[in-house]
Amino acid sequence: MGIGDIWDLIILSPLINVLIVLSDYLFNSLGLTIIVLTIVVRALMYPLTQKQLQASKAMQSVQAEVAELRKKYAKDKQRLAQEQMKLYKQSGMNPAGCMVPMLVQMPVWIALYQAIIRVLAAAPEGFLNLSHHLYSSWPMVFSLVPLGSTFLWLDLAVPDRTMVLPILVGGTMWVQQKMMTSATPDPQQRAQSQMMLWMMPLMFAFLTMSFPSGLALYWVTSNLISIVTQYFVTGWGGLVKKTADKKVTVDKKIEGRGTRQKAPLTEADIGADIVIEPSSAQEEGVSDGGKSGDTGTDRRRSYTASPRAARNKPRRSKDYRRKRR
Amino acid sequence: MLGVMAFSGCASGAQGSVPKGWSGGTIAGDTLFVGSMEGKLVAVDITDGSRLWAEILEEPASGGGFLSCAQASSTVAIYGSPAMAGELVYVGGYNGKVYAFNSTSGALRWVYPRQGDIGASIVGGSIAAHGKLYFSSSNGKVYALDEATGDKKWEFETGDKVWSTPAVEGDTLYVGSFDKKLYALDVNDGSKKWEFSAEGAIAATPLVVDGVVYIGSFDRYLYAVNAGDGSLKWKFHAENWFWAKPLVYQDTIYAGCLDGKVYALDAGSGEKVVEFDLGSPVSSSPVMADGSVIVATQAGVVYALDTASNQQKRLADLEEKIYASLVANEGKVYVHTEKDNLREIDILSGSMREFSITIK
Repeated sequence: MGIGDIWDLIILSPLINVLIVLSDYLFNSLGLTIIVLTIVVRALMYPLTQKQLQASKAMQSVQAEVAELRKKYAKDKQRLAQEQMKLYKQSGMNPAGCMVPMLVQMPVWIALYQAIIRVLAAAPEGFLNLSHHLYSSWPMVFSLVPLGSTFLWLDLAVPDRTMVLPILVGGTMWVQQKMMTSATPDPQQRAQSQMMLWMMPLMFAFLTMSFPSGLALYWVTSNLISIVTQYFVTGWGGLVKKTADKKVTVDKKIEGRGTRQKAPLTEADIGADIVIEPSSAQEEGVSDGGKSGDTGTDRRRSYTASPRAARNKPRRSKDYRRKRR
Repeated sequence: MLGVMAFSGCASGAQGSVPKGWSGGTIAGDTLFVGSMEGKLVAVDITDGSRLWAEILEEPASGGGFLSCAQASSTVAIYGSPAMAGELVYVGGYNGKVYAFNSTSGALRWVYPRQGDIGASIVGGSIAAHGKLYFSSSNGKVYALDEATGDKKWEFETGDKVWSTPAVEGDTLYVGSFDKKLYALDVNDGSKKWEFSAEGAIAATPLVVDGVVYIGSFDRYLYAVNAGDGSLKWKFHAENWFWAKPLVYQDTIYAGCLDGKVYALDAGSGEKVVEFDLGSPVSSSPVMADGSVIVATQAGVVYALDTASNQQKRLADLEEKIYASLVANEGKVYVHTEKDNLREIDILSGSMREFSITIK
């Protein structure tokens, strides 16, 4: 018995038969069956997925340190590896923690993928071969095939010409990739992440235009499950981080180089420990001992984040400002 | 991760999601016509094995698939065996078109439909009778065209795909459908005479002999149905689908099955006379030659089943998968393999000749 036969016996054939029987309970809808079976398989795999995501998150949390090490030991690869392992050990993580759960899940996902391809019988050759996988002790599977391939506007055995599925596959994959992307100080890694962020969704969107849409339906479902799972395990990840990063960049520009952009002033800005310099006229007002009668609120309104002021005047310390109040 | 899955899909696609075709041959005089996996109708002189002509069926409108591992194909797959009538030879393509060529010169006489295609693939073969050409399609329809002009005479719609090659006996056409029904239609206007419901889809071609229609189904039954009214005469249960057209010889039905066996059944009662275990699925329709049933397994082994002694003899091992129907002529059997090779096997000696149907 070859490895292919073992694969068929243990993984592929059971999945194919379950897929066919399940379709009987789901109104003979192959589309619905693909969605439900994908959810069931992904739910069974959840403990492993969770472990993998947590391990990935842990790895990302030491990215800055890893980047530092790379910089430091750029010319000594051996030392770099040693230091990296040391860092992972100190942080209590195992780099294999990401890979092992993924490797265990991979055969199941591939089998699910192959089962869908075979049941769809996009070509007569594939359909003829489906007969080898049917359980002779389950008479109903013989009567149920071929499964109806119509679902919503789709013929699941042929590619979706409406472009809806390619966009859905590409879009959901982009969101999933984006959630996985973390801010890294390493420019090389950043470039790599950016490439993955766009390459994979585009590639799969193109594949969707050529593959049976039943398979694309599986991809969309699988991507959506990944997004939801990832949200509950690690949050929105790179999806929301980018917004925060942008804000920090703007603030830094105001603080450091004094750009001409005016950042919106908020209540929080006043209370926060960022440099908001008063205009010179108002500074004079303050020097009269506060006789102007400005309330705290009024005073806050009169403050502006003047870039010129920020550039010309020396920064005051926290103590200085506290004394003024 | 998904990349791995995509490429595993390409690998599996190579084994089944890309239509390649499995056309059997048709012999007229010294010429054998067969659809090649290059998407050509090829005429071969069986006396010397030379290729007389080869005409390509036009490219499908949808074009090729991305990364060469998608469903679409750059050549037109041909599944059905060509049909002959007078000087014309007919073949249906997976691109949803039927072509009529001059059998001598290979010149295209007509194509149906003249513009575009019928909107679905053609998997079954076609049959010419009563001045008409009959064929079925994956859109669930059975068509009748004028043999000479290709003009449509009538069409009949079933409830699902039709991959079965129609059979004509008298003024009735019999065809099975994926909607689990066997239909009897009037050849003149396509009106339904009766229908018989099986428990599984039907892809096999019916055999009509002495007022009985024999047809296998995916429900693992071979049915004998009265041709007059569609009533069940008997049914026989096997272990897997019946895909191939059965064969009759001296009141015995020989039916190849995907369970790797050929069943010899009494035509009158359906009782099993004997079974031949060939060890590999049989999807290719067998032929009768010199008192033996010649049958090919998917594994590529060709057997001669002696109808007198019920002994099986291994004729040849081609070591290439065989899905196409066999054709026999003057003590020779012709086999079109999955690798697009056409082999001639002498039934008595088992000696082989290879014919060239592709340019290598």
